[in-house]
Amino acid sequence: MAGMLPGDPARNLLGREAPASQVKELNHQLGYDRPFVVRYLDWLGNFVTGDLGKSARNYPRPVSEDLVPALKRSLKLAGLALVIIIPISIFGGVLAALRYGRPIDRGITVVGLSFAVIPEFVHGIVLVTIFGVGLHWFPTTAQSGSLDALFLPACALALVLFGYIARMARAGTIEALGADYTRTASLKGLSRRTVLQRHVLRNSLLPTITVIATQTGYLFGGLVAIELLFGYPGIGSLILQAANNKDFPVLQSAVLTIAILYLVVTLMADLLVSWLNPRVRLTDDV
Amino acid sequence: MSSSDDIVGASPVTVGAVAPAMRNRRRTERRELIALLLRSPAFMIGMVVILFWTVCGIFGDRITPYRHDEIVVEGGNLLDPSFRPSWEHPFGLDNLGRDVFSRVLSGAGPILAVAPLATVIGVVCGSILGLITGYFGGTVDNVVSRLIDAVLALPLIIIAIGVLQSTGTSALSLALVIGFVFTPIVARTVRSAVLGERSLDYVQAAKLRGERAPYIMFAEILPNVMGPIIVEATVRLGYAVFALVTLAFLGFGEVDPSPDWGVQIQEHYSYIDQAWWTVLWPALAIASLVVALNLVADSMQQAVES
Repeated sequence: MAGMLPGDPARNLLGREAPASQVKELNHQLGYDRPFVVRYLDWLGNFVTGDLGKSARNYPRPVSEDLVPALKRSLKLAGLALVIIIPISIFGGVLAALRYGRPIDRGITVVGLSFAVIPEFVHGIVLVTIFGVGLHWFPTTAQSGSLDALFLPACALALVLFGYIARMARAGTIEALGADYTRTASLKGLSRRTVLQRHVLRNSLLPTITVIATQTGYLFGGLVAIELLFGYPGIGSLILQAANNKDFPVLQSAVLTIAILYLVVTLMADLLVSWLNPRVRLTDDV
Repeated sequence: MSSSDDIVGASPVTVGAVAPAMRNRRRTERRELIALLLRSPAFMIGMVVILFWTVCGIFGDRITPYRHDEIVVEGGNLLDPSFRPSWEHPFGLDNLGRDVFSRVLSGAGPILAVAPLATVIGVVCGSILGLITGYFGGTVDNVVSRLIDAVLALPLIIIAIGVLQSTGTSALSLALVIGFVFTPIVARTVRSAVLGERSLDYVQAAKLRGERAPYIMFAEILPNVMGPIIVEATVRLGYAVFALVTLAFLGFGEVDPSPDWGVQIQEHYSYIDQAWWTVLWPALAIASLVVALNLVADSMQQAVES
């Protein structure tokens, strides 16, 4: 994809005035005159061995020198968002299920789904206006990378996730509440608390794990806008910068890193679910 | 005459007898659905908000107090007290001295011009793909499903940034790239709806009549999965708005004089400390539109399922 971006890497490096022969020479050195497929396979081969190549914009700076710290910063922000929202949304979802059909259930569901469709940067702006500009509780940028500076951007990301995770926790809990084993547990005289903890929650949270994993992937889409809004130099900023600078090696590596992260997280979730619940091991869903 | 010819020969009669009954049933169902929706407060609130923004988007400058590109105060800056929200300018003035209220009102225009187009592209392509994979199953289904998984492994915004950087940004390229990313998502929904229909009697009957696969998919199954498709289209419309404003905020969309909400925020987010009104109002406008679309989608889903 990135290999098809227009704009000549050598021309970008050497500037407008450089003679065509020099540009051609450098493009040859950088390997940009080879066919697209060859370049792509070559790059992919290097990528799996850990060599991410060199930036086209800041040649010969290795891509990993920018990518690794940016990724670490983004993981910190994304991690904070997940730490904030996972307990809250599971609690919200379970609460909604326990009050199924009542106003509080409808409220949690509608508010959750509404928050989920509002773009992350819109949440960010509202939060900054209230808690940063208005109340001065938190910094309005995240440049420092300190925990209190990361709190607002993490909340903005978390608000989008709330609806999805809560909806899954709710659906799982409703299903578990109606299951035979729950009725058996209640009928054999266990307290409501024990039934909820041992029988309902354990089963209802399985689908929630999967949805958290899927949403973690989408979190990285939201990071681009949130990192721009808060001036935080993470992988989202890096992607945006690389796209604007036509820096293909950086763009390719960053995008592939996100795709790999998504695959790893969803794989881990699948393994976790099958470890927690032996029943899903041999069934395949349609 | 072989027995299969008998069945084929009988088909016009069968269709003639069954089709009007089915059409009538569908019409009654549709009427009941609309009645149900009109009684839902969430649906009505959502529709009123959407209608409001559509009217604002269509008429734009003709109904706003100032033109969207009209510089009301020349040469001032955001720190001037006169730029703050006031009776004259309820949402304040932006960094070029333009009326934010007028710009927010006409800001729906550029978004509502592209979002439905992107949605139609995604829903049409996704429905065709979903009908094919759901109906045929087997290898076709497996191959397409894996391709769908591959597309879904990357967030929309990141795919869009990569593609738009190479194609350049225009209304058409925005609609195409968003529609492209929507296609697999819609296909997945339609596929599972088709799987539910495939084994039903009317499909089997059509097969026995010797109808061709395209006819069965588009004339027999499609009308029966329209419910989920319409719901999905409404959900997608909300996400198309989501994607468009996010991309405009990132610098891949409309450009300056345009009152697009994402553009307004893109131009002013760095002044949020001094002039919150230049970004808060467009942000709330975005929130109101996507939430309204979501309310409508959600109540339609409930109506279709009940």
